[in-house]
Amino acid sequence: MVRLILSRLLGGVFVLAVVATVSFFLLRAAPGGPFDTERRVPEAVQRNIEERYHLNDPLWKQYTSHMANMLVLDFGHSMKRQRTVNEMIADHAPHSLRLGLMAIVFAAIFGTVLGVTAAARRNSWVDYALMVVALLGISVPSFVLGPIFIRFFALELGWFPPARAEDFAGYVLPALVLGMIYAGTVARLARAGVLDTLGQDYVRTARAKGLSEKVVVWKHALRLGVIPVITYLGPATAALISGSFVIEKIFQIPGLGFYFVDSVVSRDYPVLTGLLVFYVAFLVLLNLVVDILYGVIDPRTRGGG
Amino acid sequence: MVGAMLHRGTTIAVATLTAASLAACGLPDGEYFGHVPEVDDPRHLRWCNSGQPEGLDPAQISSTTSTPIAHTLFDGLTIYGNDGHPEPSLATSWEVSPDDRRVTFHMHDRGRWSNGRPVTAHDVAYQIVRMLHPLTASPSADSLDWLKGYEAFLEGRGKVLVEPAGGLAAGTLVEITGWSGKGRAEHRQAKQKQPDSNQRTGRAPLALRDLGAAPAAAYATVPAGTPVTLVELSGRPASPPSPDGASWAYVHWNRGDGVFGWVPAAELDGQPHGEVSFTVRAVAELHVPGLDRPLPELVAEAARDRPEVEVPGRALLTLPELLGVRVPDEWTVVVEAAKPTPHIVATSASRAMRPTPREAVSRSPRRWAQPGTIVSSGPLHLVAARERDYLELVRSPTYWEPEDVKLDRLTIYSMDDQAANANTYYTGRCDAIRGSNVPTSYLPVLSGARRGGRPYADYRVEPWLGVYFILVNTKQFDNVHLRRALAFSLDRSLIPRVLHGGEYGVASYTPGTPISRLSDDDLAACGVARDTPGVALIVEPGLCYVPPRGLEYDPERARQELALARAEMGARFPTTVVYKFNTGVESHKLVAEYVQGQWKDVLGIDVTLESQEWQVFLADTRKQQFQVARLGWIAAGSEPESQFARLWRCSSPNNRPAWCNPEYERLLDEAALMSDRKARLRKLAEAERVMIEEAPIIPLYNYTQKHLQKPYVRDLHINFIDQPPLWRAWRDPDWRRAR
Amino acid sequence: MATATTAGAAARAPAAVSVRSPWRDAWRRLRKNRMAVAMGAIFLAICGFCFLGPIVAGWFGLDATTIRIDRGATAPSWAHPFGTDLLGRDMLVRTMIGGRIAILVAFTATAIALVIGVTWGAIAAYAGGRVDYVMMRVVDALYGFPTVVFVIVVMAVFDTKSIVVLFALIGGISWLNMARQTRGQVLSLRHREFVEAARAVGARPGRILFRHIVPNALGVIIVAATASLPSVMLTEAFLSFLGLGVQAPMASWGTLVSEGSTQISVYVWVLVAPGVVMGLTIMALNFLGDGLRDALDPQTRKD
Repeated sequence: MVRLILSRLLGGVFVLAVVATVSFFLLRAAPGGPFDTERRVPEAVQRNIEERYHLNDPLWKQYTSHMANMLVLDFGHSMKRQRTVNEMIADHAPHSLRLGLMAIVFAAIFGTVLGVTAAARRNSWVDYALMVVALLGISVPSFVLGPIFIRFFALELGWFPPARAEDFAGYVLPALVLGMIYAGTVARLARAGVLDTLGQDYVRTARAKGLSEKVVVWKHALRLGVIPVITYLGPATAALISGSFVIEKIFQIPGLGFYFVDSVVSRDYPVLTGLLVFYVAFLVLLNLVVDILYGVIDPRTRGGG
Repeated sequence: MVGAMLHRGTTIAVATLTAASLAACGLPDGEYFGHVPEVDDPRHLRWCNSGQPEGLDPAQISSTTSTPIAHTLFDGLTIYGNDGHPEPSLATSWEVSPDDRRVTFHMHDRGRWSNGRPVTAHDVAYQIVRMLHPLTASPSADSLDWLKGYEAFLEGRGKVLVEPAGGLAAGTLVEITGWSGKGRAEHRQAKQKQPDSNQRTGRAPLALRDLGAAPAAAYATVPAGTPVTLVELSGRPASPPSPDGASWAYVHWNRGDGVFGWVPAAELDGQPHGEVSFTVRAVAELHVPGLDRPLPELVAEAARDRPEVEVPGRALLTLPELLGVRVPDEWTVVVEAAKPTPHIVATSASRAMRPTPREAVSRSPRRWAQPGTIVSSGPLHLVAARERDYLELVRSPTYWEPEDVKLDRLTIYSMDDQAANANTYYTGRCDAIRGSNVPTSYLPVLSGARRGGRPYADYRVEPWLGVYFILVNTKQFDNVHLRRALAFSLDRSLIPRVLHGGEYGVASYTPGTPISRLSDDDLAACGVARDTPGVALIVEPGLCYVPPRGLEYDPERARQELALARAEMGARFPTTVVYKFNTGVESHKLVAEYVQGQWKDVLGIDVTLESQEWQVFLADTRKQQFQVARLGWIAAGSEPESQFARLWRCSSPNNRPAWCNPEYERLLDEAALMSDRKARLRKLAEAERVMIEEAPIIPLYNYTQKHLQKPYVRDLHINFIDQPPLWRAWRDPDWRRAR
Repeated sequence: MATATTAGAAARAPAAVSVRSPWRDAWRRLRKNRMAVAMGAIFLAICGFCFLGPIVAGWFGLDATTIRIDRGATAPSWAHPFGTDLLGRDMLVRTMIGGRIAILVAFTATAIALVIGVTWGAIAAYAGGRVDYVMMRVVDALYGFPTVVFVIVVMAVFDTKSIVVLFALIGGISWLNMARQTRGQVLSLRHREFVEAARAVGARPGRILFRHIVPNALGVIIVAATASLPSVMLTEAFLSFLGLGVQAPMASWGTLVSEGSTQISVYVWVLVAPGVVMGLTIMALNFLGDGLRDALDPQTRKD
């Protein structure tokens, strides 16, 4: 187990280095810079600004100093905002986290219920109808689903605010839309997983013991059937916590996701690199957690490591 | 079976389609757009701004999103009034020299920072110096480019002789032409930076503190021997006097985000570049009080070569007085321009001259303008903020004129999504939406075009000092007839039907207010009849600029010009035209498609549209990698020459069409030396005519501000430069009765 | 379509003789899955709608590009069954044309992903050892990179709006999963008898890999490919939302839907028409993909 964790962490560090390097050079290769605006400043001013942000240093020097700073977890200062990248992560990640957790809980429950019910009534009209609902979230882009939900639940019914998550109610709509995306996949995985286990010996035994189909499905088949769901939810959680650009834009939630795209668009070099490194680190850790959980849930994989 | 299923599928699709269309055939009808909630607190306004301000430090911001907030937090010598023209605030009066080059502002002593300290002339001087200091690297430094020593100061090339050297007296202003035996240009080619004669070290640690404070009150300590940059010396013409008779120095220590502070100058005993030998040349003294010699003579004098002399680095210092700013006493500040500058007073209302608190800036130069650390001087004070969410401002207890402040609390929502803004307003969660922050697709409904001509009563359209135009790359489209053909073939009267925002389609360049909508006084100032088509710009009350009309829609002439162009260009005549625009704004695409249609219909030219991400678009147009492209220009002030005309000078960094015309240069140069305002504007109009006839740009329309304001909102004045005095607004609980 | 041709190639492969009957089984199982069949039919119908529809609409004088500013957006009517957009263009034909591009993008990008992913995964698995390790770490690193951020940056770097680049880019980021799946499958097939047999008669590794092993991994590959179609469509839609999709006056479902989403409060039909058709397509592809997996994936065969 320790060896597994160590080797995973080592691989993670490699991935982090690649991501940091690629994002550093790639964004700088894009035309335009953080200080280009339609109102061009005179050259002397431009020079002073570049001096301030060390943009006129040789690229290798910028790279090495940036990497050295990142080693001590200093992601640098935003070039477009009056804040450091560390502060941005600290300020905005909690909002994405809150939204993401709500969405993932919704997706896990809603998706599993749909999937397992569909599996229990496989190849019936119930199965099909449930799966159509489940797939809605992955069939319609969230930037379509979002405005429809806003239009209906916020503007017409007035149940929730249309934007800005001030309180719990404000998180409901965005969490629903975001959760729908994942609920679809969860439902499919749960359905397939349960169908898979239904054919296995211990489930047959349970059935032979005369347990009702309901108990068989929900108690016995579910236990192993949700393993693919957990495998999927791990990395998905990382993605959720790093935020979703579309949802955060439409619902105006001050999360991190917005900045992944915004930093590219506004050429805020340190922000993009910092956010990516943060995201990948998170991803690596969560994958590790999932692997450990996997061992706990399914004893068969323990020996195999 | 497949057939049946298919049938079922289509039925579902059709049913969903119909249901959805039925469920949403337009928003509920009514007099107002959305809900009008009851007013609970008349002194609390919730304002939907156009996005997240990039900052609140007047020296570091440039977007229209942040400026009105900064102008609310920081008082100025003058401030933008209800009509958008400057009105006195910290300054009670000012004198402008006859040659329009020097303004002396007299301040009252009631201005207070939120920490209780009086706002003085030194604060004004400090802000001007800070704006232009290379260490600040302000993106809007060029709004002060008229100041005497602007360029030399910005580049660190200008110096003051602090001791007599090379035959020049102490106090002489000089500029560096070279060092260590080589010229500046040579050094620059070799990428060698100019040695900084302002650099200092201390043998003992330096305790950085406020001016005159005890060493124990230091907020940062520079280790012995660590270099710092000297910025100011107490007792100099633009700096505060010494508190104790000894000379104090204001220095910058480059640590982290940087930190500034005062130390007794005697403690700065080391000078790393003190022995470097510089070649310098005295700067011509342009300032002659009261203009006792004709200006052209002075200019010629300034242009004359001056002998170069060698001086040691220790004799040279970059000091604020280079800039032509002086503080004769605590309540008087004098600013001086290099040439006649009619807009000095107007600039004093802009962020560039809004004083900032030295004590807060020094401690944390890049992050002081945040809740908790901010020290403000305006009617409202910042108490809370969350990025991309909101800012909370409350009445400032120290503001000198409390009767002028109608609000106790101002909540500003920083939503960048236009639909989110409109929806928030619709549900009654904000009271007013910042101008032009309503989705383009809502406008046909708001303006009534889709409601049988009944606009919503809370929707308003106001002029905005901005112009939307097409850039023509004159390097590629070097034939003037081709450019004129493109300009003549656009029917601007269609634009309101494309955009639905009341935009005013014009072929003239400098924007303004439609002449038909001017007040009688303004009309008289303009000297035109009310039925004159086009726009006029009220530069200041009583002074009007009427831009030349431009190449208006004339399909016949368009085709004639095109035939000429075809004959002259021969094989170089373009077969297709590529029109570039940037993504992110709905209306750019609509305009692009309109232009595409017009050029095809009138000229038979095929237009390819190319949308680009904003930064790519800016980079491409800057490097002349385009044929034609859209651009908009929104003024930060009402002076047409500095805001609009100078864009198309040969040396302008904003001259994307790469158009350079000697006649235009000459006319603007002549205008620049004129101190008769009216004659100057006439000269400017001549220049503008030259430009518009050559069509390096093709104006399409003047911007408008599209507003939504709940019916109970009072005194939220929308003015033509989009600088509403927010603190004067309030909410009327009895609005229904008031109607 | 892609599935049909690859399946055909598999049937022609000599070594695949032993698996011919499983293919027939799979087809039988797929046919029994009513939902998958129905969705397949819907998908074919939509393809017909998009590729033949504009021709038919042309007979009625409808096209996607005629701008009528004076008309502007109008609600669905007999003349324009899907209504018109802000510039007065017919939404029916625009939806059809948009579908052509969306479907083309999806298939081309998936084909590109298929070629890269299968080759990468198969080589890694077959070579094994250090080569395998390095190749899979590359996949891991790319996997860590949020794909959309990657696409935006690359599109900014190359600053091209050519639709070919769009295809290639989306394909270029969707192959990772394909590579992993192929690798897994090839690993399990590497030591099977028919491979050993081929090796024994002295076949070269390339031949063994692509003539013997890959055809046997086709089931998994087809499933992965079908699963990637909808996600490619959504990626394209997202890029359009950011304004990085196909250029005006061309339009894909993505651009239509993202434009429509900003107008939902005013002109609902501008969103509904392309939205419903696009949603239906993606859903159909998802169900088809699930059906194919159930039919082809050996893991679920025991059911």
